[in-house]
Parts: sequence; structure tokens; C-alpha cells
Amino acid sequence: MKSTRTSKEEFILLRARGLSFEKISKTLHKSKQTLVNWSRELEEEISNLKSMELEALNEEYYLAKENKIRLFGDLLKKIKTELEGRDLSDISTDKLMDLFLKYYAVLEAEKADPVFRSSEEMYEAKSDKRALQRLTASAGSPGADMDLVLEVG
Amino acid sequence: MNDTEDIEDIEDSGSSGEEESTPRSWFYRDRDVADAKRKAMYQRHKDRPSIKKINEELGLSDDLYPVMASLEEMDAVLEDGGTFSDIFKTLVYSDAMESALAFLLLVEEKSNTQVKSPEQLLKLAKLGKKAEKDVTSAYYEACEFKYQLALEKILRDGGKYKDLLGLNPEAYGLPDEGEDERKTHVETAIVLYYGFIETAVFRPSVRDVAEELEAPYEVILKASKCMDAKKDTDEIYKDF
Repeated sequence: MKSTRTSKEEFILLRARGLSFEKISKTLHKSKQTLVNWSRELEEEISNLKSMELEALNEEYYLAKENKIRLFGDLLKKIKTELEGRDLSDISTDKLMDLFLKYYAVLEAEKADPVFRSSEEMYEAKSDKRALQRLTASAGSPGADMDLVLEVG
Repeated sequence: MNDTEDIEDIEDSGSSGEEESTPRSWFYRDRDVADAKRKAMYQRHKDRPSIKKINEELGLSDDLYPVMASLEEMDAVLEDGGTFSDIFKTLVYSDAMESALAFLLLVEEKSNTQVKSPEQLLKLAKLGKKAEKDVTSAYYEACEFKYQLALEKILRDGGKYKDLLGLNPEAYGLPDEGEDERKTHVETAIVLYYGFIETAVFRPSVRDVAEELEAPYEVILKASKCMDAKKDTDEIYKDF
């Protein structure tokens, strides 16, 4: 007997989107008992797809850091240009200045200072990372700490 | 107006009687379409002997629609000159109980015989000895499905926990493997009937269900947590 691969793929998709068993049962024409069995069997796949769906939602609704810097930076540039052409006796300048300061604060908060490393520093950072990975992988195995001490030393 | 027109009508409109186009209206439209399709499916099958019999015995469960859908696919194979063997190879799935029950009902219907053992099913369906293991498995899946439908009927009719435990699985072709096994079947029926499989917010109160069924609280509590061990997929949404 074969297994119902196509329906299972659809099930993973619908479950990851948060549909109830009842609704999926109606959509796929599968009994709830069958779906519960599938849910247990395909738990990891559903979980993975849910994470991907969440990531997509995050991308859609929360701008990535890079985009935020670009957006606020552009706004800041426009306000600055406008301010430069303004007569300071103009009353709305206060508001414009207020906007400038607000966006400047936002941009400051988003700012990420670039870090440049020499090839030697990069080599050291990679060595540390590898040592940390080995330590995590061999955690609990006898003598693991000693190996690391010897290597770092 | 026939059923197909009914479905098309709902699909064309926003929802039954609603003009708006919002997530809420989409939900109702989808639900109405699914219900209309089920209604149409039932109309097509209500008079066929196998469905009529199971409906009379066990009532019209939601889980009977997947069986009817499976039967429709099997009918199409027979209409195209296919055999039970073709159906068994292509449409009876090891991991979909409804397909096993549909196959059993189809064989019973076509041979006008009530199948009482896997050997009889093998013989009536003219499946070779090679298929014995799979046929045995499908037979017991179908029996278990029928037993679950019978337990569900008791729940629908307002039966209590003791009534559920009193239903003998042997009456549905399953071996009686003792009290513990029977309790497991009963728990499954409770879990499915009361929707304990759904997301926590949609689950009923454990205490209310225990009182309604006159069942020990700890039994219903355990049943209500059946999906919780696998809950970590839902955990992702917790802080979202």
C-alpha cells in the first residue's frame, strides 16, 4: 500500500498556516483521526514551515534594519534640504526642526558601526569560533575542557 | 436550483447573503462552499447501500464525508473498467483510515456480503496472497474507523463515559485487547469529538466535559493534553 504523499504536503502547508483540523478535514477530505496521525508524524515539517511563514511575515510587516536606515536617512536628507532653504523666522521651521531631531534620533538608534578587521584578527576570530563549536559539540565528553585549554593556551 | 448551482452561487457572492469582502466574509464563504459541497456529496451517496447502512447504524458523522469522497474515486476506477486490485493498489492508503473503510464498504456493496474477516476481504476482492498483509492491515483500519464512528454516535446521543467503555470493539471486527486498549479508543473518541486536538483557545473546559460525560476528571485532563506533547510547533506563535 502506498502513502498519501500529495495530501500530506497540502496538510503540512495548511497546518503551518494555522488552519484547524476541522477545516483541513473538510478541505482535504480526510478524517480527523487520519489528520491527527499525520500531525504527529509530520510535526517537524509543520514546525519548519511555520517558521518560514513567520519569517516571511516578519519581512512583510517589519522592515529589515537596512531598509529602515535607508528610509529614515532619505527622510532626514529631505528635511535637511528643506531646512536649509528656510527662513528661520518662519514659524513652521520649529516643526521642521522638531522633525529633523526626531528622525536624527531614530537614525542614531538604527546606526550600526561597521567593524573592519585585519586578516590576523579575522584568523583569530575564526579560531575562537571553531574552538567554541568543538566545545559545544563535545560538551559532556571527558577531557573536552582540557583539550580546549591546551589548544587555546 | 441544483447543488452545483448552489456551490457556484456561494463562490460567486462574497458569502451567503453578504456583500462585504473581508477576512471574515472569506471565512464564511469558504465554510459555506465546503458545507454545500458536502451536502451535494451526501445527496449523491445517501441511497447507495453501503452509505445508507452505515448512516442508519452509526449516524452521519463529519468523518463519513471523507469516506464518501474516497468511494467516489473508487467508483471512477470501476467505471473505467478497473478492478478491486487496481483500487487497492492506487487508492487505499496505509496512512488514511477512510480509504480502508471505503474499500471495505465498496467490496461489501458489490459482493452483497458482509465481510467478517481479512481473509474474506482478500477472497472477495480477488487480491493475491501477496497482498494478504496489506489487506489485513486495511481491514483492521476500517474496523477501527467504524468503531470510532460508533463511539462518536454514543457521544452525539448524549451517552456517558461508562456507555463508551461498554461498547465492545469485537462488535466492529476488532479484537478485544483488554480494558486499557478500550480506554485508549474511548479517549481518542473524546479527543476528536470535543475538539481537544485544536489550538488551546478553542478547546472546551476539561471540567465541563468531565461533568457532561460523568467521567473521572483525570481521564479527561489526560485526553485534553493529547496534543500538548507535540505542542512546540504552536509555541512559535506564543510571543508573536
